[in-house]
Formats: sequence, C-alpha cells, structure tokens
Amino acid sequence: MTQIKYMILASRQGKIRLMKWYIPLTQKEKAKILRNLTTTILSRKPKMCNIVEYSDHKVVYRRYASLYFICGITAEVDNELLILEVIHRYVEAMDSYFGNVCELDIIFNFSKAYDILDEMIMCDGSIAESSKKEILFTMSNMDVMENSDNLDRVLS
Amino acid sequence: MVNQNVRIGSSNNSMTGLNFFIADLRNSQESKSEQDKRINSELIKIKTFFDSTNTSLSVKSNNNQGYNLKKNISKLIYIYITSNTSKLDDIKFGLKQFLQLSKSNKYSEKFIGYLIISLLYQYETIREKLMELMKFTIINDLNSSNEHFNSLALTFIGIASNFDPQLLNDDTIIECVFRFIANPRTVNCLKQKTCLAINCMCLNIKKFNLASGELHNILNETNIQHFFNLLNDEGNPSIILTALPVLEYYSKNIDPIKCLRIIPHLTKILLDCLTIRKQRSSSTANPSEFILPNPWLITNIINVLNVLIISNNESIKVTNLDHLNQLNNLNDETLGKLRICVTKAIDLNTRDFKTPFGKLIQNIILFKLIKFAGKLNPSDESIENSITALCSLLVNDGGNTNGNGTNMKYLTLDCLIELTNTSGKIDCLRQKNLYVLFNVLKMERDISIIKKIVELIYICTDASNMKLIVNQLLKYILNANCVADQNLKSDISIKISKMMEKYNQDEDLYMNVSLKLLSGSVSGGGMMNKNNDLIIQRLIQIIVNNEHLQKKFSLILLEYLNKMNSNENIIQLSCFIIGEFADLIEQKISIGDLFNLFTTKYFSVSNVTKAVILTSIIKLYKFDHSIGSVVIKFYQLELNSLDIELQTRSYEYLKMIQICKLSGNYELIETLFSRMPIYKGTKVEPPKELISNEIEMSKYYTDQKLSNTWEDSFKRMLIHKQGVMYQNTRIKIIYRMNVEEYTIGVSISIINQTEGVLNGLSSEIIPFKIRDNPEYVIGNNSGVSRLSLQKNERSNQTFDIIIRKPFDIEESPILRVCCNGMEDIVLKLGIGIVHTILPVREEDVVGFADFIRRWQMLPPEGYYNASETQYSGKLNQLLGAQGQEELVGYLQSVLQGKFGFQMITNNSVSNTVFGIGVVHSKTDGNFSCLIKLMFDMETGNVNLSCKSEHRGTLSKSIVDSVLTVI
Repeated sequence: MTQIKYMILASRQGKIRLMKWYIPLTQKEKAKILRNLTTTILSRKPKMCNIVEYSDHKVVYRRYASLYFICGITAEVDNELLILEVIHRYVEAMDSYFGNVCELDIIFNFSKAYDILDEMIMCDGSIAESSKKEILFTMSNMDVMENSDNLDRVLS
Repeated sequence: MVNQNVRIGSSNNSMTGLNFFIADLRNSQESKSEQDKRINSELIKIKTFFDSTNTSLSVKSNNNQGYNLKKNISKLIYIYITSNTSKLDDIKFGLKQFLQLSKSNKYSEKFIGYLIISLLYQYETIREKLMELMKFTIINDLNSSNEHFNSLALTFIGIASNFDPQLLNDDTIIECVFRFIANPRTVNCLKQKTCLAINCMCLNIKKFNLASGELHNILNETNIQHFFNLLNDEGNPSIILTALPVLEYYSKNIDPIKCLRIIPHLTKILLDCLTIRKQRSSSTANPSEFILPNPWLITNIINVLNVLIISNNESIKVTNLDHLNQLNNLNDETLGKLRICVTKAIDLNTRDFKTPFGKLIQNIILFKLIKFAGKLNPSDESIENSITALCSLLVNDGGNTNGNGTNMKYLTLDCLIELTNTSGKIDCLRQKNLYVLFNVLKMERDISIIKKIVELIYICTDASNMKLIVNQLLKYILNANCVADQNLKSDISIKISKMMEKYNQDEDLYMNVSLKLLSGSVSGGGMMNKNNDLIIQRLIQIIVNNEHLQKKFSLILLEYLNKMNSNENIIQLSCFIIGEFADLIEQKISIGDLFNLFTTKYFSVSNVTKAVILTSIIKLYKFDHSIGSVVIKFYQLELNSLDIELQTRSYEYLKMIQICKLSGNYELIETLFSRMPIYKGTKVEPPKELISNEIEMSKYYTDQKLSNTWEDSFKRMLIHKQGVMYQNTRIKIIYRMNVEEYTIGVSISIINQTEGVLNGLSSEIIPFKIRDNPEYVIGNNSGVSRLSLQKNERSNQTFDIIIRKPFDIEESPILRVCCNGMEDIVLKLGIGIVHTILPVREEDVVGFADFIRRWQMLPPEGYYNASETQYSGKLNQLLGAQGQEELVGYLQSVLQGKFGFQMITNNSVSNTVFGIGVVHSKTDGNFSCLIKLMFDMETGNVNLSCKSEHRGTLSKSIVDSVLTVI
C-alpha cells in the first residue's frame, strides 16, 4: 500500500528532533542520509516544490513553522501527494493532542510524538490508521493508564 | 492491531498484582540496582509459580489458574519491554506456559499469550522451540467459531511470516487462512484481516525468495477467484482496498492472464468512485458539498490496472513478454469506460473544492489518471491535447505564489515523462512545446524541477532538433548565474555529450560544442572532473583518427590557448594536441613561440596539467632541435619539483636529450615520441559512459529461465560434437558442431515428433554480452528454415560462434525455442573455450620431462599473474572403476577424445594423467595450457589442476568444464 522508508523531523537549524526508520540501514547510511538531506532541504527556498530526488528514491518534505517533516518514499508505490497528506495528518494529530503544537512540545514530549507516529504508521512503513479521532482516542487511553499509574505511586 | 492497547487497558484493571509490580518498578526508577533486585525477585516468584503449574498441569485447570498465568506472563512482558529486551534470557524459561496461555479459552488470556509469542518470535532459538507446537494452536484458532480468536491467529500469521519462511510453506495453515476468504458468511472485519495477512505473506515470499512455495500453488488454483468476489462488495471500500494489493501481487508475480477478467470490474469500481455525488443527507447546511472520491482506492486500482494493461508502445519495447501481448485485447467497452474515467478526472479538476484536502485529492487523481491514460492506446489527437494542456499548466503556474504551484509543476513534468514513455508519442511535444520547456528552464530556480525538465528535453531530442537543443542547453549552463549546483551542471553536460554522440554526424559542431563544454566547466585546483576527462578522451580520439581535423583544431585550440585566462581543461587538451601536431601549424606560429606559450601557462596550472605540458615540450623539441638549450634549462628547473611525477618526467626527458645530443643521433626521441597511432577498430567506440544505454543485454540473459533438463544437454554438448540436444514427447532437437580454430559452426535441427502440425516455430540465441568487448560473438545466424512443421519434418538452423577470448563456461549462449501451444524450451548451450582445444602440432610433441619443465615455468596459484586453477574433492563415480589402468585409460580417453588434449605418457607416476593442448581465440590469440589430474583409487579423491599462459579465467573455465563432464 504505502512503503515509507523513513520519517525525520528536523529543525530549521538542522537539529534532528525525531527520526524513525522503516527499512534496515546501517548507522553509517543513516548518518549519511541525515547529513545530506538536512543540508539539501534546509537550503531550499519556501517557494520550491516539496519533492526532492535523493539517491535511488524520492523524498517528500514539508515545513511547518520551524520544523521540517521529511519523509523518504518508494517512488513506484507511493504517491507523493498522498504522503504530503499523511504528514499533514500527523501534524494535525499532534496539534490536537498538544493543542497548538510547537517545536518545544516535541522536544519535551518526544515520546508522545513517537507514540502518535507509531499509531499512524506501522513498523514496515505502511499506514495503519488514518483517522485522527481514532489516534487521539488511543492516545488518551494510554494517558489514562499512565496517569492512574502515577496516582497510585503518589498514594502508595 | 490498532486496538491492542485498548484491550490491554480493559484487561489491565483487574490484574492488581501486575499493577503493584509496575508501580514498584516505577518508584525505584532512580536506582538501577534496586530495579534489578525487584525484577529478579519477581522472576523467581514467577518461576516457582510456573513450576507448580507444571506438576499439577492437567489435574486442575480452573479459572483462577488461567488468571494467574495471565498475570505472571504480563509481568514477563513488562520486564521484557522495560529492560529494552536485555532480559530476554531470563524470561525464556516460560515457553511452555506461553503456549498454554495461548490455548486458553478466554479472549483476554489468549491475547496475552499471542502477544508474548509474537514479541519473542523474532529470535531464532525461541522460534525453533515454538514453531511446531504453535502451528496446532494457530490451526485450532483458525478453525474456531469465535471470530476474535480467528483474528488473533491471523494477526499472528502476518507478524510471524516476517521471520519464518516455513510458515509460508505450510499448506494446512494457508488453507485455513484461505477458507475465510472463500466462506461467504465471514464477517467483513475478518475478511479484511485475512487479506492483510495474505498480503503480508506475499510480501515475505519475495523476501525469502520462495517463488515456488506452497502459497503460490494455493493462490494459483481456484482461490484467486475468491479475491475477485471480494470486489463485488461495493458498499464496503475497505475490503476492496485490502484485496487490491493481493491482486497486484498476483498479477505481477504469478499469472496476469487470469486477472484479465477483472479489468471490467475494476473499471466499474473506478468509474463509480470518480462519479461525484452530492452529500446524501440533505440536512447539511451546505448543499453544494460533494463527497470526495477516495484517493487511496483510486490509486490502488490504477496500480493493478497498470500491471494488467500494456500499451502498444510498451509491447514493442518488451517483446520478450509474449504472454502479456494478449492483454492488448481489451474490449472496446471497457476501454471506452476507462477513457471516460480519465475525462472524469479532468472534469473533477475543474470543480472548486474549498478545503486544502479536497484540492490535494483533485491533483492526486488527476495525475494518477493522466499517467495511466498513456496506456489506453489513445489517439494521437488526444495525446496531443493532453500534452498541450499539461504544458499550459507549466506556464500558468509560474505566477502562482504558494508552494503547491511548484509541486504541480514537478508532477506535471513527471507526468509528461511518463506519458511520453508509455505512449511513445513525442512528436507533439517535440514540435510545439519545446520552447515552453526552454522558457520554464530559464525561469526556474528549483533543482528538482530543473532536473525533470532536462530529462524531458533529453527524451525529446532527435536528429532534427539536436542542434537547437544542444545550443540552448549549452547557453544555459554557460550562463553562470542560472545554475549554482555543480552536480547539475556536469549532469547536463554529460547529457549534451550523449545527445551528440547519439545523433550527430557533423564533426565540427561536435568539436565546437565539446570545447565550449570544457571551457565552461569549472575545474578546481588539481581536481579533475571525471566527466571532463571523458570529453577530453573522446576529443583526442576523434582528432587523432581524422587527419583532416588535425590542423584545423590545432589552430582553434591555439586561439583558446592565447586567451588570457583560459580554462585548465582546455590547456590540458590543447597542449596535448598542439604538442602532437605542432609541425602542421608551423607556418602560423614557430616552435619557439609555442614553447614560450606553454611555459607561461605552466606556472598557473595544477600538477596533472603540468605533467602533460612537460611531455608536450619534449615533443616540441622533437620538431625543432634549436630550442634545445631553453628546454634543457626548463627541465633542470623542474628537477627540484616537489611532485614526484613531474620530477621523474623532467629527469627522464633531460637524460634523453643528453643522450641524443652526445651521439648526435635523434632517433631515440623520434621513435619514442613518434606520432600517435590511430585508435584501433573500424569504428571508434566512445567511452562507455557516453553511450546512452537502452537495453541491458546481460540482464536479459540472466533473466532467462532455463528448462528443467538443461544440464543434461549442456554436459552432452561439452563432450560430443554432435547428438541429441533435447527431447520431449513433442519435439526433438539435434545438433552438430564444427570447430575451425576459433570459430564454432553450430547447426541444429528441430524435429516434430507429434502426430499433428507445430505452428509458430521461432528460435533465439542469446549471448551473454553484445557490447563492451564481448568474449564471443554470434554470427551468420540463418534462423529457422520453416515456421511450421508437419509430422516428422525438421527445421534447420545454422549459426557461428566466434570466440574472441576465453570466457567462463557459465556465460555460454542460451538457445530459446518457442512454438505455439508449448512451453518455451530454454537451454544453455554447452559451448565454451574448451571446444577450441587442439593437440599441439606434430613437431612440438613434448615428452614428460618437457612437460614438467613447462609446468614449473608458469607461476602457481595464488601468485601475481597466476594462471593456475586447482580443484580437489571427491568424485564417487570414479570408485566404480575396476582397476587403476582402466581408470587411467578412461580419464585419458575423456581428456583426449572429448576435449582434444594431447596426452603425455609417463611411467614414473601411475596415478596421475598429464595433458597438453592449445586453446584458440580470435582477439587474444592462442595459448597452450597444461592439465594434471591426480586421483586416489581408495578414497575417490581427485586433484585437478590446470595452468595456462593466459592471465585470466581460462584455466578456471577449463577446470569447470572437465569437472562437469567427469
């Protein structure tokens, strides 16, 4: 269905805020991709298109405020525009979860950001859930569990 | 899978023990040792509990025990996760209990059981222990009437197939899975899960390379029909969505012809999808709201259709896909409907959707369908229209300020490339819209888009507009402001060279453009660009080979050189050429002046170029000895150079001049620096990188699927010069070979053995390589003499194989015979370098002593330039021989009779056979090669070694062939 290769969040300064790999790569290859992609994508102007060809695959990226959402895709299987939509849904989900999400939210609650991503995209890079409502429901369920845990700890 | 967390949530509340454990661990988060302590004590507790259940396993299985088991295993899961899997070894003791839990009758218990097993299934040691037992559980659950159990098992199969190739071959499990699809009463959710599980399995078949596995067999039969049935469920797009990837896999990898039936059906779904409906409930405030078409469904349907439908143009390109050619018989109605779909997609784009998502969907559908339109064998006119429309999109969107505009541009170009590739109709683009492309190119700053435009322009090139395109592109890259990116620049320049290589007849233009390319490119200090090197090489080739160009271009290059700050590439090229042909332009400029010119350039260039200039100077000296004193001074200066290359060169040249001067005889320099010889070959091959490569021949070669019995005929052909190559109930192929030095003439006859008539006979001989200096060439191929054969009639064919140099026996040519109503016969011909072996001539007959002497002269295996290959191993066939003499006789007869080695008799060593022969090849010449075969009667071990004068793979291929035969 979709075969996303990786998802990277990078700040405007080139700092990596979040990364998730859906294909097996060595540390060296990952570092190379991170280095190359951040430099090429950060140097692109806002009016340029959201699709870049990088080595053997395509990369779709989109900037939201100070964050770049970068997504490597399999060109033959994936539709570039649909991936843009996936990115957008991820941002929307985070937006509703954090309430007007900003870079700091992702830095300090990175585990939540990963959790939301894991809800959306399965470990082999295909879309598991596209509904924002469903994702938020699961997230709030997990939060309830964690909170009750914390409460127990305080009471005990 | 998504719901897992929710379910844990509901089952979690009841397990207080687990809650306490987790809370304890969380409280001791600060200290790792305390945590470890807690975990260890818990592990001991769990262990004792498990032990107690072990002893009283079957006696009582009440509710409470199941609950306790679940609780404890949940704890183990938590330990496994919280320790980042490092505690794996500590939780392995409970495998039996995991299985027990997964057999439980309660959903929540079963769920935990499956959860821990699928977590641990990735480890091979655990998998080995669980696999067999787990199978029963899975089959039980698949057969259960409880649909929740079914879906747990399906999910597990999906996950486990990632790690376990055996699961993909297990027919009982696969059958059970398929039953869900076959059963019409299965609930929708389960159907979806089944599709996803099967899809997972299909993907993993590729991963494990199990193309002939059980899953394929089962898919092959009636089962695919059930997937077709799933498409009927139109009210439920999510089922269709899950079934589509399986269908795509099936038609791509198993049998496209069976899937042809569903094309009309898919078309109908697609059409329905694209038909825009108004919002059903009239209560919504905005009546003009439309239901958006489902982009996922549409893209997936088109993906399947893309595999199934092949346009006329493609079928010309890929002629080897014979079976797919039938796909062209789309009936008119379906074709019409598909065309309507395309128009609908275009219509859809005219509507004004308010939301950004709506706009996105519009574009997704539009581009997907237009790309697809190329496959529908459209009329020239419609293609022309769509190309024009797309081109106008390119122009109009230039003014658009938001980011989407550029995306549109990119996708439009992508679309155009695809469209021209699939439909093969470039004329319209070429004639009318080229200027549009150039205009966009000039305005554009975005590298992604520029790359696409250049690619498109490259596609549009042909002999007629080549000049124009080359000029435009040249202008573009020479204008430094336009392109900042160096990679892109060299990309474009290599494309220009390719175009000229492909279409150009005019040498002048070629030279001028290449010079401009060279002068335009930037060369950093000493860093030579690889592309520029290629261009320089090619230019030198052309100039040296064409006498009429030599003077002309020496003069042109002189002009370039005279410019103040000429480019380093140019300096390199001109120094070389002028040094070579200085005598031709002597009346224009004297040798002395040339020397001065070179020396002024010398100090401003990098070391590589300096070395070239040094050599050019000695060539100048060759033409005019009167500049001797300055030349000597110059070289003396360079003797102190830090660069070793420059130092050596100047030292050597200085010595040469001294020797010549002392003896007064300039012959040494004259010979050493005589005019460059013309590049060999009738037609000069450009460097490999400059050829645009359309077909990968060797890939086609390796893609051939050989018939089952090919090895028999392969062996037979290695030994016998004539005989039966292939035989089945319907057809028989016999062959005969004539070897004449390095040419092997082969004639084959195909005989019809059936009672009826064989129609549509054709054959093909596929060499390993056709370019890049192939090892052998196939010539004089007569083709089959008859296209249809009556009973017992035969069709003859002859061809020559000219062996140019030694090659690996693995790469020998493939024969493919096709005939109507019969599977293709694909055989690897057992023709190799060994066929050219002839005994040495009468007068050269060697004795044993001579053989040993020769053997020792050649370097042994492992050394530099070694040409020996050894093989030692066991050959059981030899054990059957009666006695040593018989065996020697047998081996000698094989080596002499079948291969043509000259045998050498000796009396000292009885268990070894020695032979010598001469191998012939056209390009590389003839080599003698020596062979020694030692055997041990008792054990059947042999030691075969071969040495040859050829520094390559010759000895290896001889050893291989001999082994194949014995």
